[in-house]
Amino acid sequence: MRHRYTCAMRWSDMDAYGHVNNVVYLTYLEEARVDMLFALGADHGTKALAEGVLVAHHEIDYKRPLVYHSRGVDIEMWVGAIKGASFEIRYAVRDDTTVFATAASLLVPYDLVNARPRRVSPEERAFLGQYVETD
Amino acid sequence: MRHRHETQLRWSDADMLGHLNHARLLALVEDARMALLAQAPGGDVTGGRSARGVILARLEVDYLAQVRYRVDEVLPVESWVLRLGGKSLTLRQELSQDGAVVLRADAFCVMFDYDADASRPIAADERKFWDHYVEESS
Repeated sequence: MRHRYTCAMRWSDMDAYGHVNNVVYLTYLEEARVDMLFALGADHGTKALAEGVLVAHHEIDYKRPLVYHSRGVDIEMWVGAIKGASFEIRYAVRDDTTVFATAASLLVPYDLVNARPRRVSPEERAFLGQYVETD
Repeated sequence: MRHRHETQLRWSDADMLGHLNHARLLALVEDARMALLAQAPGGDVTGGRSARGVILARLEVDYLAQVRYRVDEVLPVESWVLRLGGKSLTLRQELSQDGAVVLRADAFCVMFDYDADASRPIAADERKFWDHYVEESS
C-alpha cells in the first residue's frame, strides 16, 4: 500500500530558473511525512512520532523539472525497511503522468526530552508495516 | 468583490517561538496575490516575466495575532483593491485563522514591463478586471 499526499505549492518555491528549487523538494517531502506520520498516524498509535522523529539521511534523484501549479504536486510514499530504531520512507514526487523526483529518508524516532533515540514501538511498526515494499 | 485564496501552512513555517514565522507569512499572502494576478488579463499561473507584468514596490504589514501551526490546516486570504491608479494599484490582503484576521497587508503593485524594465500604464482590459475588486477603505 502507498500513501498519496497532494502538497500545496507556493509561487516562491520557484527560483530564477523558473522551476521549483531543488531544496524545496525536501520541504515537500517533509509536508508529506507530516501528513502520513503525524496526521494519519495519530489515529494509529504513532502519536509519539509527532513528538520527536529525526532525519538521519536523505537521498533524492531529480528526474524532471517541476513548475508551480495551483493544484499542487502529489507525493507518493511507502516504507522501505523497518529496523530496531529507524525506518526508511521512500517517495515519488509526481503527477498522474510524470515522476519529477524519487527520494528516500532514514528516520529515527527520538525522545526530545531525554535527547536520545528510541526504538520503533510495536504500534508504529504495525502502522508502518502496512506500507512496506521491498525492492 | 474580494478574491479568496486558500493557503496551506507548512511544518517548517513555525519557528522556535512555536508560531508561524513573520517572514514566512509573507509567502502566504504572496501566493494569494499571485493567484489573483494570474487571473488578470495577460497573467499566467507561473507569474513569468512579461511585457504585461506586475512588480511589488511596497509592502506594509500588520501582525494582529500569532498564527498557530496545526497539521493540514488551510487558511483563507482575502484580497481586494484599495486604490486603482494610472500605473499602480494597492491591494489589501487579510489572512485569517479561526475566523479572525491575523495579518493585514497593503501591497503597492506597479504595472511593469519586464522587457523594457520600466513601469507601464494599466491597460483598459486590466482596469476592467481590477474594477471588480475595488472596495473603499473602511
